[in-house]
Amino acid sequence: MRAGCLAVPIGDAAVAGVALGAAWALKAFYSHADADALGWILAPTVRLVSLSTGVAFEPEPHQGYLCREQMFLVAPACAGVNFLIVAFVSLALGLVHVCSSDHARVRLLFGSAAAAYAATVLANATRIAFALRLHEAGAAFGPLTPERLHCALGVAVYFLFLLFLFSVAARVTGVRHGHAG
Amino acid sequence: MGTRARPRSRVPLALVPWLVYIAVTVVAPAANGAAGGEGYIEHAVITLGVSGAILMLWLAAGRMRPAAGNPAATLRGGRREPHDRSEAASRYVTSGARHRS
Repeated sequence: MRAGCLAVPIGDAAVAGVALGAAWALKAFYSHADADALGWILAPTVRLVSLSTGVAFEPEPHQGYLCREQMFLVAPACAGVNFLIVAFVSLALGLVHVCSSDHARVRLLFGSAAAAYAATVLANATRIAFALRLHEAGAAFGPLTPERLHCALGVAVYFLFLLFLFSVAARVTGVRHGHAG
Repeated sequence: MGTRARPRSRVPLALVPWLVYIAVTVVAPAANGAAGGEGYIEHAVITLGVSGAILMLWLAAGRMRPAAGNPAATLRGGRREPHDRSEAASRYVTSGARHRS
């Protein structure tokens, strides 16, 4: 067995370091941020929800966006920043192996950040639109309380969007390996 | 984007987003002391259960629909056959090199 078989190119390690560092910094910022500080991600998400559902939201200083009609608050915890981190890190770590130059690695990092942001707004708006319907219907099925349904719906929507995002990004970058056979 | 060839892995690439998702939503909160908090276990069970079930379905769908030369199929765990002569030739050369060593 050759010693170099498992070696990670230094450029790939640098991309991993930058991605994980950015994720850590964003997580640290998110843990203390209020709704005003998260306007860059909450505002477009709520606008998209309003456009798709016709439900009106009003900004509540430091709290988020409130739908008075249904008493439904889009709070900082609903901003989707964790999904943004997951999407960015998944793209950067999962696709770095196809980059052959430093230029390609830089493009991967910026492309991953842009794609992750767009996917987050879209996924979160979809999740909130479905959650509004669930909230309105007060749906519950046996042990699946409205809170548990809300959580399960969020995981399902986010994870499906994540897999589709990753699949599309792999097509774009031309990933040809990583298969089971 | 400049691309390069690497040795193929038998691990489905779709595991990458799943592992990152679990790391950020389940492992990181536990590492920050949320594991003892109210509702954490419930959140972890729902997250692992729902995302794990979707991942299994995704991989199963990829295996049932092998598409030659389709990168997305490889993400879903689908088997991909060599799609051009150069790739088939590289496999031949690789196996030949193995014999020479």
